[in-house]
Amino acid sequence: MNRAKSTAIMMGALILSFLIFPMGGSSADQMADPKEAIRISNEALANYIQYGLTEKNAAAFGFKNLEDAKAAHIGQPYPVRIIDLSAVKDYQPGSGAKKMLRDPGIMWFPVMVGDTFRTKIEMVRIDDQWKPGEFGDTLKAKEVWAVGTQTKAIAEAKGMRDGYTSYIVHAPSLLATFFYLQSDDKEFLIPAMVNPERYGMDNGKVYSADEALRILKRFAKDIKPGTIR
Amino acid sequence: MVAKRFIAIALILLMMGWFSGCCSPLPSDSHAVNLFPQHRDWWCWAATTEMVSDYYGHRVQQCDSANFVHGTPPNCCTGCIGNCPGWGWEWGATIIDIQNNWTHWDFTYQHDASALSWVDVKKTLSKQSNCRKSPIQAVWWWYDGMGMRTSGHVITITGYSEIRLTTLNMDLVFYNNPAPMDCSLNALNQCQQAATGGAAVLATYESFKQSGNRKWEDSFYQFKHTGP
Repeated sequence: MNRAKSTAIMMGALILSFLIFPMGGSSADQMADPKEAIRISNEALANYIQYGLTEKNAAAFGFKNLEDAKAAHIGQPYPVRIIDLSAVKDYQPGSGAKKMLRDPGIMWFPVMVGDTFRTKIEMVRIDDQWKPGEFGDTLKAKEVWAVGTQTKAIAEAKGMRDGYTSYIVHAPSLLATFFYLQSDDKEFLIPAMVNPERYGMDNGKVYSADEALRILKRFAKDIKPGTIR
Repeated sequence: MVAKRFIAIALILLMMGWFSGCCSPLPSDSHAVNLFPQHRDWWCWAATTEMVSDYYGHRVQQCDSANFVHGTPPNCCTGCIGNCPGWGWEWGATIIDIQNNWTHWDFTYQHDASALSWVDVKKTLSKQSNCRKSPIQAVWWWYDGMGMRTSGHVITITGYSEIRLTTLNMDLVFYNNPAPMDCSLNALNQCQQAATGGAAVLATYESFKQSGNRKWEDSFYQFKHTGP
């Protein structure tokens, strides 16, 4: 990728960040500095592709080949939140998801070639600095990306036109991933995971946060803490 | 004179022994470990056991590990048919289960209740002489807001790369994640083989060790098959 193209993509991502973060919530806890995370994600992607990918392994990371990977750029990032197993077990119907969400210091970036999704790269906050995290894990990332492209339309359909918070929400012990949309009086969880059918859910279908958490609670009660899966 | 010559020879022999005993990893190395997706939600430990045992030419199927650890649950060894609705999450494991399972299948191993240092990651994975030449079965643990472990997940580290440039210092690990599983439900609510499962991933060593509320805190490596 030449320098001019790279700079243009980085500028585009920065502009995008100004557009999405006010929409997606702009509280200080959401991220230390989104511009810094985006800048580092561009560097990290370039380094991972240059030093981590080969003709032999490029396909395993979601690319057609190494040339395809060299044309990759990052797309619109999403902040990540975590819901603990204990919080799901203790969930009181009607109490909502907002107070259960924990900030793990992770930003999720789609990796694109042109307009086409390839994989994901994460930025991780370590010692208050954004650093490169996982690159790959393409199957799970595809499901997240597919639902992520629908969230704006879903928010509008739900009347959240005046600004709303949007996160990717993981419940690691339940292998569950959602998009979370929240405005003043509304909270939704939209499944975005591999095998949502394990919970009788459908990816992209809009559940009230309460409805989704009631379902997860039914499954969470049988999970013993400290078990490896 | 004789004594000096004897000392010189002894020193040379000592240095030869010293150097021949050293593990000197290359900047990058990897193992061709096949990626076996886990067949059930809670079989990451069994899937990574399958990956590592297969690498050593003595493949232990996931269902066989699960049967050993859990006492032959019904419909266990039926691939993606049978007990899919349960997703198998009563079939998780503990560290002791994983240890016993390796022993049962005639493998010896080294277990550390910690992450490996970057130096040890290189020494363990490197295929150079006197290095351990071993993939690493690494266990991540998730912690809740109270600092309690909630659940664990096992992945297989297959390679590393150490980048040392004037403008860039980067330590990378390559790993096979057995999740997501390769069974799913079709539109008729029947269990079936998914098109694919598992994932190839790379990350910096720093973020692999700790990312958010997830920490690498158990390591199995230096495997050796001792059975027939």
